[in-house]
Amino acid sequence: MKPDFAEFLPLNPAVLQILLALAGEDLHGYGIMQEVLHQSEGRCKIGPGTLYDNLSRLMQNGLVHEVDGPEPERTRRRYYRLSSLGKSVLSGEIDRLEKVVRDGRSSLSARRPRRV
Amino acid sequence: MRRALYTILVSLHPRRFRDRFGAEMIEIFDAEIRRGTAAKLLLDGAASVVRQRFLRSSPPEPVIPPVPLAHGLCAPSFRILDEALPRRSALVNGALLSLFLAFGLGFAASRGSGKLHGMLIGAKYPRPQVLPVDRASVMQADPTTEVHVVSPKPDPWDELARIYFDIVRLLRTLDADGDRIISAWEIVTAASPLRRLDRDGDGELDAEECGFVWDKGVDPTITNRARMQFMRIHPVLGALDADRDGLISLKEIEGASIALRALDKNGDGSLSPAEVLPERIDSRAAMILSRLDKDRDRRLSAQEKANERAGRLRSLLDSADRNGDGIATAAELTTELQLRDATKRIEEAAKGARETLNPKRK
Repeated sequence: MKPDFAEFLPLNPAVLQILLALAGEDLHGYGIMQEVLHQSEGRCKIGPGTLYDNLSRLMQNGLVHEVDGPEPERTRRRYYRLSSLGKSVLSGEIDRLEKVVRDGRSSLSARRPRRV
Repeated sequence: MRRALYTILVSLHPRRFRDRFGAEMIEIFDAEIRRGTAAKLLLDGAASVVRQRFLRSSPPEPVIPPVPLAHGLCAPSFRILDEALPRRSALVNGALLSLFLAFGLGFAASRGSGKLHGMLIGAKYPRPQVLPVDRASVMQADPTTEVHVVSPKPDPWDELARIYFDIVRLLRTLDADGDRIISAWEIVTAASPLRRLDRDGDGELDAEECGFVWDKGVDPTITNRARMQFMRIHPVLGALDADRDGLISLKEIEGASIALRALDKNGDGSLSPAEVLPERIDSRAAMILSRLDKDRDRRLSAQEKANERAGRLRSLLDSADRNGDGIATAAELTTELQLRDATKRIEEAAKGARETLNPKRK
C-alpha cells in the first residue's frame, strides 16, 4: 500500500527547505546547503549534521532517492532527487501553508477595528 | 585543529551513519573552512552526534546474502525470507523471554503437582507417570557415512594484497580495520594515520617511513635512486607525493584524501587491492613471492627456489640472482622482470620495424 502523503504533514522547517531545494533539480549534499541558503536569502542555514539526518530519514520514507550525478561528479559525490511521493508531500505542505496564511489573514481582518 | 575536531565528532557518529555520510560531511566542512564559516558546523556536528546516538534508532540490518555453494556440493542451506534482520535489542529481549519461559515451564513440570506432571517426557528418577522405554528394540548401528568438507580456494588477490600491504607500510597504516580495502572513511581520515607514520617528527614522510627497506652497505647514490623508485613505483605513494620529490610533505599529507580519491578508478568511494597494486611488474613479483616465499622475508632462499611450485619460474629466479649469493630478493626479482619486459618490448618493436620495412616477407 502506498503511504499517504498527509501522514508526513506538517513538515519541520529544515525538511521543507531541503524538499524545496530539491524541487528544482538533483543536488548533492553541499549543493542542497547552498540552495537552502540562496532560497532563504541567507536567513536559513542548515549544517551537514542536520542535513544528512533529515536526508537519511527522507530516504527511509521514500521521499528522496539517491541518483547518479553528472559525469564529472559521478565518481565522487552522491546526488539526491525528489521522488513522486516527495513531490506530493511538498505540494501538500505548500497547500497547508497557503491555507494557514489565508486563515491568518481573514482572522486578522475580522479583528481589525472599524474606522468611525 | 578545527578539522581534526570535526573529524573526531564525525567519527563519534554511529558506524552506519558515519560510513554513509561521514566523508561528505567532512568534505562540506573543508569547503566551509575555505569560506571561513566553519565554527558553527562544529556545534552542528556535536548536536548531530547526540541526535544520532540517543534519538535515532538504528534501522534493521540487511540480511547477509547466502554464500553460494561450490558446484556439485550438496549441503543443507537456510534462507531468511525477510529483507532485514530484527534489531539487536529485539533479539536480546526474545532470547531472555525464551529462557525465562523455558525455565518457568521446566520448573513447573518438575516441581508442580497434578496435571503438569503429565507434560514430562523424561525423568532422571523413575516416576509412575513416565512410561518405561524398552531399549532392546533399538538396533546397534555402525554409522558409515563420511562427510567431506571442501575448503574454499584462497583468493589470489587477497593473498597478493596481504603481501603488498606488508611491503608498503603506509598502506598498512591507512587500512585501519585490516580488511585490505581503503574504505571511504579511511580515505577521508587518511591525514591522521599518515602523521603518525612520521617517526622522526620532521613533518614529512620519506621512503623509509613509507616502508622502503634497503641494505645499509650499498652505495648511497644507488640507495637514493632505489628510494626514489620506491616512491614512484607504488601508485599510492606516487599519488600522495604530488611534487615527485620523493617525500610526502605536510601539505601533501593534509591533501591526502583528495590525492587518494584519484586512484578510485571504479568510483565506488573505496580503494580495492586492484586499485592500489602497481601494474604488471611489481604485482607479478609480489605474486611470485606470495607463491614461494614461505618464511615471508621477501627473499627466496635456495631451498625456496628449489620448491616444486617454482616450476617454470626456476630459470627466471636463477637469472634474478645477479650477485650469485643464492638468494633472489624482491628487488632482484623486480629488476629481472623489468629487464625481461624491456627486452620483450624491444624485440616486438624491432619485429614491427622489420615488417614495416619488408612488407613482402610477411
